[in-house]
Amino acid sequence: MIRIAAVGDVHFGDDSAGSLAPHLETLAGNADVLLIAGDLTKHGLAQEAAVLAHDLTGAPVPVVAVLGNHDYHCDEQDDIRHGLELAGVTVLEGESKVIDVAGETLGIAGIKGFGGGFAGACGSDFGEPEMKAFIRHTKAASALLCERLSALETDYRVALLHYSPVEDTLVGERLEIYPFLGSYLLAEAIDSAGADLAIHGHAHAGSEKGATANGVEVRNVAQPMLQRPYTVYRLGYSDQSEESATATRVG
Amino acid sequence: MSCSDYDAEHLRDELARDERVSELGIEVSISGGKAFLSGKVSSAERREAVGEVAREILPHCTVVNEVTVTVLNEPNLENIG
Repeated sequence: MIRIAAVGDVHFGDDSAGSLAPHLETLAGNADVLLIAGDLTKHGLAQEAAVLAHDLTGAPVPVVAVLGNHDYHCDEQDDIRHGLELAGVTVLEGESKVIDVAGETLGIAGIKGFGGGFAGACGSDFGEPEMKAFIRHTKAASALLCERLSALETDYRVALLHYSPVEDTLVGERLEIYPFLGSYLLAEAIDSAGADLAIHGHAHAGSEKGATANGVEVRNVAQPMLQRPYTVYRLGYSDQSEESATATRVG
Repeated sequence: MSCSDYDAEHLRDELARDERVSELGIEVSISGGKAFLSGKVSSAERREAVGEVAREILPHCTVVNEVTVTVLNEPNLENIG
């Protein structure tokens, strides 16, 4: 069994110091890893990431993150990544990370992803250069996600994204903005490679639970939607008598 | 100058780009010469910043700030598979 704590869209700013650290103390004994699904910063500034890095310094488990659209706004994404890595956070962009947990292995393939929409209402790789660039960015991200997931030879595999691979977890958002919130191409990549769980953020007004066409569970962990510091997902839990398989309180 | 739906979208764009706010999820609706703001932010300071930017961008509108502050509950646990 592996316990994955996950949250996204923490949107740290200069005013956020100390807002996450107290909650991380409860990770000890309750989770094996913390995944952060992008939008680490408010305005995409390296100094905002430094505030988050300081909060994460005391995390009792490994922390793995992807960046989100906010983290790109001021073109400081490389500095944001570097600052977090100095604090011990693993930042993935088209990359993967393997974590050993008591004899079992967890593989995480992480990438920001991008938009484009979903079956029946999505953009095409056609027309103006700007439109083609938009869709091709999503295509490239999806292909890389599939490649990285497929290469993982671990007991459990998780896709860590910022943008959503499915519509299920966007329910609550305005239908008109779905193409800016995710793409079916990400789900197709996950289904092609196979995975135990896909985590994403970005959809603040969306829903937590969904699944791909092939049945891979998808969870939206955007903090404004969760209204929790994080949620813990247990993979491979088998003792049905110990606790209910449905949501219960950690603390 | 009256308060229009164009104003709503210009404000939404500014609420995303202004460093004091950087929020994409604030809803703006115009009714009866008033600009109604709704959505969630993570702190009282950020809620005030939303109102401040709105008043700067739409000085000809009465700004009604109905944005709320998200309160975090206890973490949840779910078994997958």
